[in-house]
Amino acid sequence: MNAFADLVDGFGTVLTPQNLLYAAIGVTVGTLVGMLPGIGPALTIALLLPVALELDDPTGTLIMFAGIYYGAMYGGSTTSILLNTPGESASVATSIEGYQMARRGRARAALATAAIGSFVAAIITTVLLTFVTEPMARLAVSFRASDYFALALLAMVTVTAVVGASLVRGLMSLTFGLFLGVVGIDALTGQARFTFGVASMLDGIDVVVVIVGLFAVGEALFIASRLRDLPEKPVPLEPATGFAWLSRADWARSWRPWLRGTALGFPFGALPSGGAELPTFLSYMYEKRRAKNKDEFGRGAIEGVAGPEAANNASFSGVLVPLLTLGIPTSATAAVMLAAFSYFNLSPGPQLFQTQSSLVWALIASLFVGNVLLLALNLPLIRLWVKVLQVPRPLLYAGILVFATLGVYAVSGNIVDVLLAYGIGLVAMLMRHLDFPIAPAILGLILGPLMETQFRRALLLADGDLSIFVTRPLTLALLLLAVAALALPHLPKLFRGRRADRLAVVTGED
Amino acid sequence: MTEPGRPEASPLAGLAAGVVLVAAGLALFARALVVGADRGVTLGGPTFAPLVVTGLWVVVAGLYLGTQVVAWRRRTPATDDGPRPAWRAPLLLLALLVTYAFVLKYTAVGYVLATLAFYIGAAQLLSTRPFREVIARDAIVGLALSLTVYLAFTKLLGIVLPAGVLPL
Amino acid sequence: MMRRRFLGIAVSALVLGAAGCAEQSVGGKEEPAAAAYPSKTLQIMAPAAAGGGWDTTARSMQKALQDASLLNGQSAEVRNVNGAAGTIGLAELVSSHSGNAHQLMITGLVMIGGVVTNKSQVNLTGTTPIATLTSESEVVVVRADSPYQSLKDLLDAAKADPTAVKWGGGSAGGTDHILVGLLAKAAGADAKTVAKQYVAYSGGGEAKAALLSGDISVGVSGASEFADLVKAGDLRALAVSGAAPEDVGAGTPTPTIKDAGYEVELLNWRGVVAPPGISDADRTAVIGLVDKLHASDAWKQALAEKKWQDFYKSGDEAKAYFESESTRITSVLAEIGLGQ
Repeated sequence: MNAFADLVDGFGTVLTPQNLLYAAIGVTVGTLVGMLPGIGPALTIALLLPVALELDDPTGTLIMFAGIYYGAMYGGSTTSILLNTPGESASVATSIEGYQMARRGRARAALATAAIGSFVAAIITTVLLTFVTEPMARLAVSFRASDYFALALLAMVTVTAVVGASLVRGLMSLTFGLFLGVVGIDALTGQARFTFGVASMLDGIDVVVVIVGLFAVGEALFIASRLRDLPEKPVPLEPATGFAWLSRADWARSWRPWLRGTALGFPFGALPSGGAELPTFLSYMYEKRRAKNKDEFGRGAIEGVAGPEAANNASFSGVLVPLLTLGIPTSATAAVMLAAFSYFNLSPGPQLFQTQSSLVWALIASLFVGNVLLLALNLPLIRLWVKVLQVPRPLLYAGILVFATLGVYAVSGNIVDVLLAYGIGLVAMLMRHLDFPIAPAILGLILGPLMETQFRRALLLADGDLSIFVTRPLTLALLLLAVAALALPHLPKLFRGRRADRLAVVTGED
Repeated sequence: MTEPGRPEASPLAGLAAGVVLVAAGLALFARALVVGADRGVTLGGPTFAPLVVTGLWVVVAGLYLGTQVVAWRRRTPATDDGPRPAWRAPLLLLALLVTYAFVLKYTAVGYVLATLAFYIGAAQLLSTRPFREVIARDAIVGLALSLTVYLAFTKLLGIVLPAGVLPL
Repeated sequence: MMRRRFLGIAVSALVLGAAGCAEQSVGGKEEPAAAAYPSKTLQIMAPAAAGGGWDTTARSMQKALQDASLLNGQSAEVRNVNGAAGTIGLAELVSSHSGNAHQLMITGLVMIGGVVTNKSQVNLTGTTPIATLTSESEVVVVRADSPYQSLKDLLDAAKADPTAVKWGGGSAGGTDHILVGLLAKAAGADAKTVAKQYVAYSGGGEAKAALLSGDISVGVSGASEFADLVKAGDLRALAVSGAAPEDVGAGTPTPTIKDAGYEVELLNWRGVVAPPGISDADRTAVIGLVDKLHASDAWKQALAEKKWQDFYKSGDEAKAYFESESTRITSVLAEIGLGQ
């Protein structure tokens, strides 16, 4: 295999003190920005670009940027788990079980399974990236609008599992998210919808604003409303057992979710309209559905952290596939990295592997190195991170509010966005009191616009002919899967439900 | 599913939420209908999705209200006894947040001072201990935090936060 | 309130004038007012989120001003006000910075479209135009296996059946969409129906993928956007929208739309404006500063790095250009049914 020799050369490039330093800086900065709500890797890279140009070292710069991207994902999981304040949408699924684990004294195990899962996913997918890039990219760009619609629909019906214990509350939360997704200018026609005459709302409600509102602000307000009932001291940490804070049972329960999350994350990342959120939620759903002890979900099931976190990291390698081979960025961060390439007079695309092969292989090698660094950085740091839980609550949540405001205000400079985040925070506090799950709202916000846009694109491209959704084999297959996913899990329940009804009739209740 | 230490909301709160949700849903649905009637509704047009989403909202909110009515009918004195949330602190905190945002955007106080004041206020609202005991701690942490953030953003990232009256 | 602002303007003008005089009496230079400007921190507003195109322009300008030591010992800051194609920033500039010569804002063709599609109360003509800085041509591409060999083939097809050609590019009402409208008009096709066949994508990447998957038959975007795929032979460039032929990846210059016989030229330009209500002396000073920026090596370097075309008009020339572009874009958007 030629790729192997190239990769060895790549390692030769990366393993110089200077490039190792770049990688180390990148992963550290990335970890930090990943922890701040609202300040993501895309923004950081965009702002660091001018500095990077001064350095005039394309290889080193790109190694650093890849480190930031990965580091942000490791950092994002930390705050999601410890404080229930995910910084971006891809960390929301991790926070569902992760925070519950932290609340039960299992913070270290949750952080460990997230870090190791991320590492495993990154290493496997980087190997895949090394060998299947070209065919994978060609496959990814064969997806059409109707396929994306069907895929989004499939995701929508399968993730109803995230909806939580009460179906109607989960659906209400999902609907709220769907509604937030409709607000703003319609992407295809430019018509304003539900903007209520507020110009700032024409752009729609940014997903960062919603996440900061639902999680950081909502959580702080909720804490404020429950001060008297909350214990003053945090739950004591469970004694550390086993290897790397994971007991034998934890390892046994984590490794399959890591692999399954990886398998979901990589292809979704490669799809031009896939993104990192969908695979994380799909992984969560899958783990929940497979779990033998379903009751544990919602109370800190380690599978619910291991799977989504692996999926999140795997999607990044997926993102690199169309970026490197076709110059197609599939995430905001990838778009900024593309800009970085062009500043250095490199154009990602079919030729990049030929014209700049040493750079590409150095970048791929740096992914291995960066992830080793991140694992080495994050596992020992768990000891430090859990100290966050010892910080007195007033100081901690006042700080979270400062960062929440900063994340929205500093980036957009738009006060309407800040007020919206606060308003959504108020709604989120009420949702917490009334036991509405929060995560479905994020799903609605992400999936709703995807479904609508792709549906209408497909229809427009087919001159309004609905048969487009049944004549294209891939679309049809995905739609049939969606129907199956909707019907299958409910069949047994339906029968059981009917029997229960009959029983109720027999016993003459009500 | 109720977690330990997190009691089910009182039946009255659930009922009220149900009514508000249905009312909001109807209002939004009506708006979507008016816009739809105005611009015409086609499957591929921009007025279709708002109708679907707000329609779904009405249906789901209706179902939720139904479950809450049932819960209300079945309420026992015991279910009313759970710990009641205190609304004063979160509402004050919200007011403080809004003030903070306006001060940042429209006054010359500057990021560091505004954040310091906000931090002390928010920490107090989130605390059960008397002001005198914690003010020194809160002020020191708040100052360190706001200064660090200010310097990191303006000097390292190049994102400008208002300097305000302090000579930074 | 109003009076105080007026007073402020008067005072700042006076101070500026006095400083200018002092400078003149000492050094006897030709540009008295410009020498003392800026007299405090220069604020450059990017009416978009950090990281975008306008933000990059603002930050490049800030950097070049500092590197070329044009700031009279003062510093420059970039501030972001995001929202609604820049019209939130525009409204803020006009309403709360009137008369402040130390507050500049980046603008561009996209903002004119944004004013129309977002029904903004404030128009670009409500500002004090300073200069245009950069421009980028647009390019029209098809897949390599497309039956359209030339722009004429393509537009003939659109003229014969306005729904036959599916176009794709950036946001609805944006530069790419405007170009589709202009082309349809120039070809004598039903512009409104043709523009309805336009599918908006959230960025160049998505549009590229849609071209490759066969969803759309024609892609319209900034000239450099498709370069790699044109170079690789996956796509074919039919025409560029600038004044001169340009190499957009094919290795040879791609002809302009005018070369193909259609009277259309469209540049995605970016520029800088000041708030309304600044004195003539201030306006001269700001224009003087931007003139010097444009002449500086630091700016030339920024243009080269970012691959921006130099597109410089300042003062009255810029004012006239802003006005003619506003009129033209507004009428095109109305014709393709987006201006209502």
